[in-house]
Amino acid sequence: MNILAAIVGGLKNASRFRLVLPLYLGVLLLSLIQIWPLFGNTALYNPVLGALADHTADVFVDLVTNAPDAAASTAAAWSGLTLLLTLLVGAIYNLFSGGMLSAWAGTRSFWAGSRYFFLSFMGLGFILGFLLVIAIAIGAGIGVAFGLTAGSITAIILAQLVNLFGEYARAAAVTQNRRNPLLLLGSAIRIVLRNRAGTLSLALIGLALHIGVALLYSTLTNRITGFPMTILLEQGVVLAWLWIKALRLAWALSVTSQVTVESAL
Amino acid sequence: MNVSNIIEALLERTMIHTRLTHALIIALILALCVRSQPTPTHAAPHQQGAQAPVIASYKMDVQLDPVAKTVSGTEHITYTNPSKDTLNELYLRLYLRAFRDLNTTWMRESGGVSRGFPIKPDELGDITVHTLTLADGTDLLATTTLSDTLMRVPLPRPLAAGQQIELDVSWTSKLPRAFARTGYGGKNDTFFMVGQWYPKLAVYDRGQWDTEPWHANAEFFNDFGAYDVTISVPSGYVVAGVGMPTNPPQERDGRSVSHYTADDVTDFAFAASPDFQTRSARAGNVEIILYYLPEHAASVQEYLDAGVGTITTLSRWFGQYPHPRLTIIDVPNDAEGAGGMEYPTLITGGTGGLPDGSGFVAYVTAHEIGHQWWPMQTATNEATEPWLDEGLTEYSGARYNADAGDTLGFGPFAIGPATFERLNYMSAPLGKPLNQPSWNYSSGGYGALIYAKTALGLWTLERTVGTERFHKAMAEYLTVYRFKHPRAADFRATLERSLGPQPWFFDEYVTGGEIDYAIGDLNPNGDRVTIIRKGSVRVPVDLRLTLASGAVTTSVWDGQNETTSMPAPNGQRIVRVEIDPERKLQAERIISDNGVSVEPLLGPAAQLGGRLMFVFQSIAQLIGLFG
Repeated sequence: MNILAAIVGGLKNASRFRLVLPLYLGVLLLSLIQIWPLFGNTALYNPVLGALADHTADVFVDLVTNAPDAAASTAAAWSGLTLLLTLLVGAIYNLFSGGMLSAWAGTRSFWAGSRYFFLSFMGLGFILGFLLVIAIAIGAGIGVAFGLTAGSITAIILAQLVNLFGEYARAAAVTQNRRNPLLLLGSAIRIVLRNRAGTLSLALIGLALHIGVALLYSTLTNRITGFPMTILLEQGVVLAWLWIKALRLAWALSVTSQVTVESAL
Repeated sequence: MNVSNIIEALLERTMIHTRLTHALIIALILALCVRSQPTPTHAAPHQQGAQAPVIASYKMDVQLDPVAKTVSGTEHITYTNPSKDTLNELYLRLYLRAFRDLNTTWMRESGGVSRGFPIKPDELGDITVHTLTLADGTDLLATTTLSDTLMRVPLPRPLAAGQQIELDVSWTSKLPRAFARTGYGGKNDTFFMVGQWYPKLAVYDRGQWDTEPWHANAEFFNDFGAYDVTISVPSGYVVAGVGMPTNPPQERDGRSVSHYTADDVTDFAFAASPDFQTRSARAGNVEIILYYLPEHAASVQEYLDAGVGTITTLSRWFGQYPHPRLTIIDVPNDAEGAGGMEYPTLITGGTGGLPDGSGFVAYVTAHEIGHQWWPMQTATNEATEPWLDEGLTEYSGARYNADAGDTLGFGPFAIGPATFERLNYMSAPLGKPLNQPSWNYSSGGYGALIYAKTALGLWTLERTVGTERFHKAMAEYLTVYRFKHPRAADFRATLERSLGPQPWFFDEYVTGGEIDYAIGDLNPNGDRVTIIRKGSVRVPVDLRLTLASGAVTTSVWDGQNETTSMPAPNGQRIVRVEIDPERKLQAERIISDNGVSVEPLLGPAAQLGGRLMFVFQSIAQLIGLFG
């Protein structure tokens, strides 16, 4: 495979920024659902809101320690809602990733691609979730045997590999026009293993970009204060992370396209 | 000391707050102050002036046996009757007898558990006195009686006021596995922290001997004196002791012999390990020397920064640290029972088994160094008035940590020192006094009340009278009672002489009261607001009113009545009320009911909502966009 061509091709596809926007808007809408109760509460009249927004730990500690039952039930409700909404984010990703890849590949329109691959990618998501659990279990086992650091590193590496297989499976679905998630996963594993240097390099570049944005955020968040600049910064970070994810998919599409052409030749 | 319950609370309930910029500035200043040195200096036995009365002095010659886990030796005690009374008896404290079986006062009160570590029945400690004579050889041992950790020694001749007596003692101490400040552990059990280990005279003060046995919560009550200690350990072991080494260790017959001297101190302890490495730094004229273990090398700078910062800051606030050296001992993770303890000129730290950067090292170091003022200079009785010891120390350490920008915890879950104290205080039962003897508290209650409630109360007092005035008053207390045995009444009298009457603190807060104010009602028309005092402590409190015109008025309510009702000034409409807007009342129980607005606070709500959205979006991307 030609890694330079893959990088350039991926960047060219990912530069079609509007294709990422439906995914971002979906995540944004779900997060608004998540915080909506905040605006329908008597807390709206309590100045502690300002202190909480300013990261004043004292107030948070006060709320938790003085009403532990209420704090526990609120935390449970928030966690439950977060889990449910996170699953919905996963569903939105499974919907729009098919559309983005189809539009980049020129095989279908964005919306047609989204619909065509949705159920296939949902199945793929469940399989990947199962593999992620196995990766964490292996990491935990190694952690017990060789220590927390070794276990954590193992779990992270395995999880990154599963994530990579998922991206290449989605790309393979579009380039090979297949929808069986098990076959797609097998195809992805073959592509990654046969092109280890290129695929792993691209994965590391993508990971570095994600970490870079996180580091930039941790630097800026102490310098940028107040509403609405903080929100703008954080939403910018969210959008950047989404775009990098799209870029990784675009690179996977470039690689699988090259591999498919090479196979045909 | 005894910080384990506090740390448990930290681990269980940590959260948001970083002061990164402030911390970086402080770290930079400290880094400029800190000078690394590869080996400790062996300065002459210089002390910054022998200032304390020499009441009980000890010249000891002891040997550590790392295999048998014993320390044996001889001591020559010189005791001067400090009272106007004639003494017919003496009392020797044999602290290690507290660990000789599970039926001692200490063990019964603690259930055999210290800081969550149970003592192992096959690894107990003990102390045996072999001989006890007067300097002329007259035997005293035959007439002694033992009770728990005390040995009563009838004197053959009365000891008149101001008269001196000299005793010679030989003994053997059996160290427990690291437990309640003393013992062994670490790699191949080669780390030794030797504390509360030698026959030591009890204190005769205000007409009576202090004959309380050693209690589980309590630490110590000691007289000042001079120490001259020769310590023999196997070659290869590094020794760190109270005071100053007079010269490098001498090698004799396969053993290494160290000699330490210390003036103006109340106790002696030492640590030994073949794995100790050293780093040092200076805080003005004070040398700070750290004996650390290789596995904790990453924490060295945190130890030294906290050491330099605390010595410098507390010297400026309260009065100069009176010794030329402070020694810090790092303890192994499996010997945390020996960590977090204070002796004169020597403290023990430890990482708590937490990764580097948790803030634990800086917290413990600052706390233990705070003890170098209270009680190492004001020798209070920790058993009977623990808040004058641990409470003043917790305040001092936490205030230093706050000024230094130190936090506890990691990243977004790090909390500042005030919040950390509040977390502990909130676990305390309501209405409990601070001025009780240590044995009246449960282990958890002791930490929450004696440490945290006292610290927050003093912090509140500081903020209500002003930091400079308060620290000046504390400095006055130290000046008057340095090298004496002050009690709570002395502390109160000195502070009130400087600050004026503070009945809310001494009569109400210390005796069990709580501070709590709340908004009672804000009339919907905004023309009147009612404030309620829910706590029993009547501390003056600031009230801030924001009017419809945008004008802000601040007044002080004396809190003497249970409620107060305030009309809107000049007939204007009140749109927001805030109690204690500058958070002077650090000890207030509930602060989330301290404000109300007649208008919805959409800006802060949006800001908070934005934060929560970001948290959710981060989680959702990590999981939802997998694959």
